[in-house]
Amino acid sequence: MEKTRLSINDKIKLAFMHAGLILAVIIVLFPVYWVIAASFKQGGSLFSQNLFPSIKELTLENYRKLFFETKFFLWMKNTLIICFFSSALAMFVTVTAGYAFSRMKFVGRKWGLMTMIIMQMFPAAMAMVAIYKLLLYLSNMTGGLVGLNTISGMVLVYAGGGIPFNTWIIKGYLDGLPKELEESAYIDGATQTQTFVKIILPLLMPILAVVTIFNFIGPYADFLFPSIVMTGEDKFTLAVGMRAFISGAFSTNWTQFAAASIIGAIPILVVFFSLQKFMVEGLTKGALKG
Amino acid sequence: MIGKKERFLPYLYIAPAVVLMIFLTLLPNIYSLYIAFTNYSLYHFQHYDFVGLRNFVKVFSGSELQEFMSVFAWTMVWALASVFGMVLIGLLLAFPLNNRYLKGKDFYRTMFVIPWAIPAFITVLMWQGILNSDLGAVNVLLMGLYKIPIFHGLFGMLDGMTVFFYNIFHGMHIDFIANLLNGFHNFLAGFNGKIPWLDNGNWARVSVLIVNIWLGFPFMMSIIIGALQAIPSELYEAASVDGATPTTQFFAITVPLLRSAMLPVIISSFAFNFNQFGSIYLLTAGGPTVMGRTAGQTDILVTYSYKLAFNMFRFGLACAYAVFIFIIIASLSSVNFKLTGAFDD
Repeated sequence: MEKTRLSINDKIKLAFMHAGLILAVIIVLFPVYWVIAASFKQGGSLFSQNLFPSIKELTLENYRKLFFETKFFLWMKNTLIICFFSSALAMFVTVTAGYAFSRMKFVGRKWGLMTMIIMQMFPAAMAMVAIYKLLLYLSNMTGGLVGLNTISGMVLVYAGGGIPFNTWIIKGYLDGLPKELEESAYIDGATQTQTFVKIILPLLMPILAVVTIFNFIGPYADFLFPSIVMTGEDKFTLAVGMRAFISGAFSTNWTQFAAASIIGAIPILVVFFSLQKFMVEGLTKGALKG
Repeated sequence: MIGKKERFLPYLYIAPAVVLMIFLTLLPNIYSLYIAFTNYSLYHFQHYDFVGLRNFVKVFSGSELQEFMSVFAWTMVWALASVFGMVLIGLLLAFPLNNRYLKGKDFYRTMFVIPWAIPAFITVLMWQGILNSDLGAVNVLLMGLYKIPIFHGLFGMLDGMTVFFYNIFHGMHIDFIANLLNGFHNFLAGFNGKIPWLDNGNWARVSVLIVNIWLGFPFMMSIIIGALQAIPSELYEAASVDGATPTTQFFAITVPLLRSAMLPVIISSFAFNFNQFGSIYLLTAGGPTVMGRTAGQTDILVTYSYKLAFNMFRFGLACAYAVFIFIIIASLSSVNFKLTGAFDD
């Protein structure tokens, strides 16, 4: 960076900027601080929380209770299983589709791409009643194996919902890669499938990682669908479970809820900050495409 | 020559995605559309019939019309105010953070992005505790501040001014403003530092907006910083050579370029907030409720449709609302596709 001597005026301006930004940071992060403080507080209630608790008052009791006396881990486990399988399934089916749409010529290609864009316009609210009915029907048909109140039902809902977006992202990424590598493979006599497995897949790894993460975070934070599908307490996801845990019980469960918030946020925070750059780019593109 | 095998290969590659999409996205949406034309509800759960446009007629007539009008009006206000707030705060933070002499940019950015990085259901539930009228952090702080004489005095002065203006407007028979001031006076007179954040209809609307803007500004800020950095510095250099002042540069370069970059984001953010289920449902569940009405005072179309379906089991009517939501979202998306050229493959 070039060295420029700043005038007094500029220095005062910068000082004001810092002051404003620090104030903004305090205001923005106050709720987060408050919850962190609550998670180490003695007793359960929302009542009489000090702004600055002394070290002596702090305790890990809330975390201990959360782990041993609530269903938090069960809900966390349900959520993680749903997220893992739905993102894996979505990935598995969209990587080949993205490849086909980017590199192959076939009748209906343009029409297919258009359909996917239109599919993205359907709000979740539109499908929710039908999905509920569909899963109800599936439960009756499979004797409760797939459908309402099952993890597999939830996985299907999310895997299906993510397909258009994933396919577009993967196709877009492939469009940006040069074709020379594959062409030389064809010259060496490789078939299209061999080229896909040996050459394209390794090239796609970065975008696959990003898409998988998106598909992981989405279901993790969703409340709408699990609140419809997962009705039994043992099948709750974290979002549904934590809401049930705190609803109308602020006075008794607040500090344990705070501990649950911290533990529940950590996996996503870690992922988010390690992939922040891609998140911003990916979501911008996603936002642009609706 | 393309062999038979090669001709089928593309379809083999897209088949799994297409099959899943047909069964899990396309058919459910078509089915929902169909349910909107049936009397599917708690009373017609096993056997329901096609009833034509009856659900749509119901939405636009009788007592349901009143529900629809108030929910729809609030949905528009909600989405507009959310986007406006997010963009405003995003701009206020992005400009200093784009200043090249400012140190510690990365630190500030990381801090401001935190509300975005925590799963939204956690933060919204968190806010529910923080805005609790009796014991929540905000009211505890406000009640503490209120006890400090200076603030107490300020509130007294504010109340005095309100009464003063009330008398003027009352004298001039401008009832609308007079009533508003009267309400404000009543609020101040009974004020003890406690604000009924989630218990009073208007305050609940303010609360859901605050929380939603808090959730959404980091995204806007990141986009605006990106857009500002994408403006080539040569433009500014050329402008300075031509003798343009910083103010002129701001209005001739920054504003128009930022506007064209932001327009699609603003439209899709409006569509997103129009459908923002979580911020409202997890904070107020659409409440507080009003006597004799089905929709609560913070219910937007999505939460109302959800409640119609899964609390009242009026699936047909809920789907009619969902179709209405879809039409609005689809129109917004098509405008956006035109703007960004997403269809030009």
